Amino acid sequence: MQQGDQGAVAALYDRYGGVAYGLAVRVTRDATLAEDVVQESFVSVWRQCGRFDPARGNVRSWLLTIVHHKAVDAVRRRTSRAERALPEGPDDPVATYGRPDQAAELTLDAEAVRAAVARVPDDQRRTIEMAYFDGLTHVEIAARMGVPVGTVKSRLRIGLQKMREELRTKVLE
Amino acid sequence: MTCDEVEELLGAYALDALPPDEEAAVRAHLASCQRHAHELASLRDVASRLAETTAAPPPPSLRARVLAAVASDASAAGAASPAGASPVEFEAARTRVASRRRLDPFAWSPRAWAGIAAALLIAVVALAAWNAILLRGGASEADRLAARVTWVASLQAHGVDARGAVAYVGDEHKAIVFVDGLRPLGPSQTYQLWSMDGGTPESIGLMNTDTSGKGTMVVPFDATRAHTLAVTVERAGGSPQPTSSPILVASCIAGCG
Repeated sequence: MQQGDQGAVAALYDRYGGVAYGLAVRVTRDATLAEDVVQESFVSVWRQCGRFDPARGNVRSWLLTIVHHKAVDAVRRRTSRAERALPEGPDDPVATYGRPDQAAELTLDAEAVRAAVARVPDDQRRTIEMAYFDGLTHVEIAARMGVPVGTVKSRLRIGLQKMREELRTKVLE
Repeated sequence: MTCDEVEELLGAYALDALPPDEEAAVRAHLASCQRHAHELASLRDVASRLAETTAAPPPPSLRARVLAAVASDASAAGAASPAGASPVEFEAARTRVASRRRLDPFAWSPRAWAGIAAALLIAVVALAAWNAILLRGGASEADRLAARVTWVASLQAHGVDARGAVAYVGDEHKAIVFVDGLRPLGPSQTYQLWSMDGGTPESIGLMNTDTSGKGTMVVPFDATRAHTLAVTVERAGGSPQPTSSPILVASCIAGCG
């Protein structure tokens, strides 16, 4: 993608707009804020495209990393103004991974990810979700789970490594 | 921070779960540690897979909004001249805007950077107007076309304190033109829109603005033939050829030809 190549941005949006928007909504729990996050993220991608290094990851991962970072930023800015409400509803897999009526929108990829995530030990999986989807820091997670910060750090790292193994298995299947 | 300490924090870093001080420390380490930079890329890829499970269809208007934001950013990068600059001739305006767009973004002069802040503000206002159009709903042709926009370019102002954008719908050879901040004209004058590409300008429509200075219009525009859209002030009923300098110009619509 080159400076001024809006066609590439449009193509990137058409490919990943749904994943980007869904992630922003999930993290911010605010459709309007999520739209701002997605917009800022694509502008950021467009500005930084000259610095993108394919050796350090794929475009999809790069874009979603930016979206996640901006979404978490937005949530923390909001939290610093007013105490954020606790995540609504029980922490069950259906609530976390989309309602059944959304299933048609999801790709086979989503099924594979869901299956891989399901094989990650429960406490590691929950810790990862609190970080990724709720935008909490390791300190906040430790307080909510009632475990030492060191435990949270380990769960995040080992949980992601476990998920990586499971995803690789899925890809090979 | 030692390599072992970073190792322990890498998962939290990949998930954006570190407070600012620790995040900065890990980032500093990553700049000089190939092994951890590589591991981070891998963990981030894994983390980003989680987003697949929450994919949701965005509102249709978001696509045009994103493209408009990128277009505004693109023109902001090139727009160094302050609003109120003296009017310029068609070809000069076209060439100047086109050549600015070819500038290396990392080689902007300090003066260009100074212009960016002002231009970004204009872009934000233009986007607000754009969003208003998209959100207004209804069944106008502009609303119908808005979801199918393939390219958005900002209108650069010359000698007027106005702003606007052109949203191009490639498969219908049409463009939605919206302007903000153009004073409404009296009965003896009109704003006239032109498509051109170096050669003879071709009239594509007449428009006026409302009392708040806003106007929206769908015009025929074929980007396989022309890449520049300009607005002039003409006598009521329009002119066969422009008789004044353009006050708004959008260049490189759907590419620079």
